[in-house]
Amino acid sequence: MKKCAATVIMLFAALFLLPSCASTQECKKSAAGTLKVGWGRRSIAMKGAVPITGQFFMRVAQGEYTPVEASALVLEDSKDAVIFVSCDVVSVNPKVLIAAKELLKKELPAVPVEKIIINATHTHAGPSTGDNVITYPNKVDIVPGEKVQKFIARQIADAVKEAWQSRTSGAVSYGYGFATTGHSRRAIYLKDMGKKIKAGTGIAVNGHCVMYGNTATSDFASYEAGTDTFINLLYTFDAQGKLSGAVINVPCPAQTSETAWAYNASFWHNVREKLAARYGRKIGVIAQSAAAGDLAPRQLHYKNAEKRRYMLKYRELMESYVKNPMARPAVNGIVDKNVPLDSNEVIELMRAEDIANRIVAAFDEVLSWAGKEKFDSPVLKHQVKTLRLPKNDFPKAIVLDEQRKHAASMKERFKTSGDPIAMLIHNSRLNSRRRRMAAITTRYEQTRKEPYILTDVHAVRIGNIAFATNRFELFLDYQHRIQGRSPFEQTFIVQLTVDPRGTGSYLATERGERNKGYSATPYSNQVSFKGGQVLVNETVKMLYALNDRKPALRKNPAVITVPKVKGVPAAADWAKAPRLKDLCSITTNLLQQAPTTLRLLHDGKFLYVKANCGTAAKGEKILAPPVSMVQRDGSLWQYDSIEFFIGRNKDSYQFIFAPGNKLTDLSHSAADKVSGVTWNGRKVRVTSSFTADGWEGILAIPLDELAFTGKSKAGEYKFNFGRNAFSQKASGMTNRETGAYLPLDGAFKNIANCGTLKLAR
Amino acid sequence: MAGQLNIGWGKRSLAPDFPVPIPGQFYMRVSLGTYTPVLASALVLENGEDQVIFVSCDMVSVDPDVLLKVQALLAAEVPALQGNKLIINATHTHAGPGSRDVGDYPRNVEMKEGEELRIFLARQIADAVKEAWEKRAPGSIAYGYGFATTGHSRRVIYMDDIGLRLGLRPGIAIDGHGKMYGNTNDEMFASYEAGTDPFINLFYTFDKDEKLTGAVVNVPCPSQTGENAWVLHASFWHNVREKLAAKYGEIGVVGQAAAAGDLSPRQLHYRAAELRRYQLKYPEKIAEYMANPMIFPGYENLSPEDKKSACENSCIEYMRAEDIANRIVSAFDEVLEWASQEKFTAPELKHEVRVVDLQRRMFPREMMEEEKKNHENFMKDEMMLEGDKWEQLRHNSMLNSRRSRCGGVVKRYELQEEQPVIPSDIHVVKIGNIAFATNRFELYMDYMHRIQARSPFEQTFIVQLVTGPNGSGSYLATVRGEENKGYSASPYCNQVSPQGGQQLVEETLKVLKEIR
Repeated sequence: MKKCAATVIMLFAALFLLPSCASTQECKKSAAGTLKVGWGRRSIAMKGAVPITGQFFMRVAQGEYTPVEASALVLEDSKDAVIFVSCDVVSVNPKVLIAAKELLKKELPAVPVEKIIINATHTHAGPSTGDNVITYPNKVDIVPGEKVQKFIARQIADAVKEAWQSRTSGAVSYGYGFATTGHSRRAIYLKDMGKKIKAGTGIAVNGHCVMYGNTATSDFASYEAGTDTFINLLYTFDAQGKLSGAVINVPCPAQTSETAWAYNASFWHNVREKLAARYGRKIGVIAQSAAAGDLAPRQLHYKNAEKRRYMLKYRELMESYVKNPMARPAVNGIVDKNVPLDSNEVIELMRAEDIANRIVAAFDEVLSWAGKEKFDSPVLKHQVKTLRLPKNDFPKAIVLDEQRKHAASMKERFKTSGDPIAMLIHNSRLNSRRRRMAAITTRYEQTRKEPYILTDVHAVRIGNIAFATNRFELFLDYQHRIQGRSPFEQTFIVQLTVDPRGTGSYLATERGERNKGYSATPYSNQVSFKGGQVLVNETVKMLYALNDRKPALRKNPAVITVPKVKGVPAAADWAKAPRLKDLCSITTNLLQQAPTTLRLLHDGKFLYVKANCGTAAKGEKILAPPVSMVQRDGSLWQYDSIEFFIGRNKDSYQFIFAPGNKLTDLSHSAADKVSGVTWNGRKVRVTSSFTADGWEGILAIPLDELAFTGKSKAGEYKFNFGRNAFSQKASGMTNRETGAYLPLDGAFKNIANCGTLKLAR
Repeated sequence: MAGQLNIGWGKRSLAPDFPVPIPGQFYMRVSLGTYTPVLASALVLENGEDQVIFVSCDMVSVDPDVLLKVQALLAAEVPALQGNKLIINATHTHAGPGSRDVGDYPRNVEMKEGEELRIFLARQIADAVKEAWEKRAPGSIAYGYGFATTGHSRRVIYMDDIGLRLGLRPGIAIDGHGKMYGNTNDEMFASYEAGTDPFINLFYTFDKDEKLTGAVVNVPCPSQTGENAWVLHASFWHNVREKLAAKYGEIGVVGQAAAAGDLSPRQLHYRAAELRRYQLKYPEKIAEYMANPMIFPGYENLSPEDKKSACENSCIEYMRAEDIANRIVSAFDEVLEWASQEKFTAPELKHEVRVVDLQRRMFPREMMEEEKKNHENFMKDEMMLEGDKWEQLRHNSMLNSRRSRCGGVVKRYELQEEQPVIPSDIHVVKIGNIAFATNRFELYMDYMHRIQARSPFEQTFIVQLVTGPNGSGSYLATVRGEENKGYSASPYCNQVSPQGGQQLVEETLKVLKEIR
């Protein structure tokens, strides 16, 4: 990857080696890299009585309070491409995706339509892309779903076309910062609140969790998973190095003003306006929600403090709003324009303003340093894979219960007269509830035939960062699992990305499912938490594949005969020793990147273990324990080191050795109790030295000091070993990967899983 | 109508000119110098009817004996000051002077500790309070909250019992599904236990000319960057103080950790991204630090290359402190801008001090028997009597810790029938529409949310690690914490049970409602 760093200071060789750009001249030259960047955007504010969905009742658009948009970003080199599109809608219907692709295929065949990633920002006040077939009594003239879908597909296609056609040489930068956007919306209680707080049939089943539950009660225990304040940012620049836009990724759905009757892009509108004021109106913004199924912009405590904050901070804005509030429909011929200054409607708007201010502050902060490192030819790879995720399979009893409830709801009456808006609200809500109940039976039956959901996942590598999409309202924990295991510096998780088969639905975690509440019941979950973990594992695999990892490991020989030598082995002896190599990463099950070779010899008194340890790539530097680590049994596993396990029956001894002649030696007794954990062998010796590409070390284990319970064959031991491969890359990043010779199933020191060492006589 | 509020600030250094123990790890460190000032900062608020004296100390914890000594000094020297209204909190820097007895084990490193050090610390704290008391003058206050990411969850939860994978760690922790600072790059990684809290509570003080004189800054994060240091330093509070001084002149800062027993300044994922962030954002600071790093035993004997390599980790830690401080200061400025529109010269001031009985964490006899065996085994392990003095200090202090932690479980088991509750001191302070509520623990964050959500006040500043005559410190875990186990949620660490934690919540709320 060519990079162009505007300000760099070479500090020192190891950890803080900064990316370098030899001269300004080189920066200029590299501006004509392989990457092409293009931006486009279109309004998706369709005129007329367009349905707005996101609540259990249907609303109808009363005009445009803020613009709602489709924004497109094309990143392309000669080999691959990605086209990001964000839409100010609650979700994007697959029909829209398919139609937009068809338009593009016809009108601009060069666009690789399979590389389009369309995400919904999840504003609850955008035009609905659903079919919205009205099957209940209704007097409001509503634009049919099909027409809206066609319009939005046209607008998206035009935004993509604009981005594709305007693409020119450019560069990207990236970084992360902090901005508080979402808060946990799953309040957990000390006891089951299911009976106390009824969520309503067809809506949810409460348990220890109630979504948006009252926290000012003696039963309140905690938020389920807390929040995440990370903001991921990818900036784009034109050939002259001028900022042209950014992908902004925050774990928060844009659902302030979620009951509005006028189009409203929520905080993304405020963000776009603020960025336009700073960087010019042409700045493009792809607005992505990271995993945030269990998060929302609402604070669930400190509400009075929040109100006071806005009253003091945004008084003028609030006053100007109440003079000219969002349009709303007339009910019984009256439009209620009286909006109190401290009403929820005003608070919601200020919340959007407040969140936007934090996003923009983080945007500026990250740009100030990330902008120093621009990449005009990053590796660009885009993989799309269809995954099979286990469906949420609930018991038959739930189905029967829902059938009873559904039958009861069928006795509830639709309104057939009265105010059209009041009718719409009542009838659409009843219809939603009935549909959700009926869907339980349908899904149950479908699951019997097909227990998996097929869904597309996009994984995109752009240099040292990656994007990974999913179609769900994904609970936050899944994001942490992917990010915690990803081989990339940053991994942007993008939820609510439409695929041709579907979009949306909450994907709860195991703890979510246990705690119940809206978003974690069969009404809401098409995929089980087990499916969630499949999504995580498969996504991690895709990320590793994009990161050029080697294929999975074959089985290593598990029975090793150790040759006997006379006394301390000489170089010629080592040449004859068996070589054990190809360790398996314990986190990815791929071949460990850093090479390790272990050789074994014995002289009847000592078992000699010689390790040669290289780095994952040239130019990396072994992360050795500091010289200051003077004590035996120090935290060597936190540095590049070999862990060698030898045992019999259930007993094992653990030896860790590392550069600098460092040693940890412990024993683990049969009952897995403490007795010998602080065991220090009297005659154990370690020598080590650095080599051209890493280090080598020899461990001498005094066989007569090893004591085991029970009987076993003389000269036979169980063994395994691992390598904590820790190094610094030339870029200064730390590379950490632990590998095991024999892949682990449970504890590393679980001798039952280990191989066998036979000492030759 | 409450009386005019009098406000005074004072501060003193807690860094003596002799080597002192630095606790915070299982092994003991001894100060080789002072890297940043470590301070006792005092704020007096008094209106003739009631008073509160906030003192924050750059220490891991403050021994109750220090509090008693400070109270005794002040009783003699400042009779109008009510000693029981002192709220002394530790910022929990792991690089401050240790106020507890170091323990009796062979060592060959010179230091002043125990009573001698407590006398010094008490004098300094008392002088800071005296200064604040004497300087108090009519002024006003303002308050607000904002957002600053400071702490991250440090309790990593796995789908499997990681204790089975890691093996036992007697005297340190009993791992289960939870592990403190666990590796997130693990295919069984499930989640952070309780997530984090980005709120920052701010309380500003002004003089009669409405000039900012200082602030109480309350964040749910212990200031434990650079937690292995062998020099005294105040972690991110130092950076915060320096930045505020540069902006506002010499103002007072009381640094408080809100409930953060399960939080710390460390990110547990995105480590490579974090490193890059610092490299690109703070190249000058990094160069500055590496030219003058925190030293440690044996540093002077290293080659220049080894010196660099050995200081890299502390450099990252220092940049983390800088980064956190920048966010705190941004939030400080942001909130000040709007909160200062509303200054209060005579807010109602009420300060209640109570002792509440909290249910002890009980554990079964088998666990005690197990720890008894562990203790016996550690007693068989030998203390180092000779050799390198630093290695000896490390080995012996570590062994001593493990012995006393196993022994502590045995002792607490013996007490649990006889003394099923632990008396614990709490302060609840009303200042106009906001309140402060203190506790002695490293309190899990969930408890804070329970109190804040139900508090009748607009904002409730929870202050952890506040010393009372009945004690200071120890983790107070939640039910989910206790279920998940791991360091900070095992019998080694918990004196009070989750039920006791809920009692703390209820008792605190009772007082909050009374004084509202």
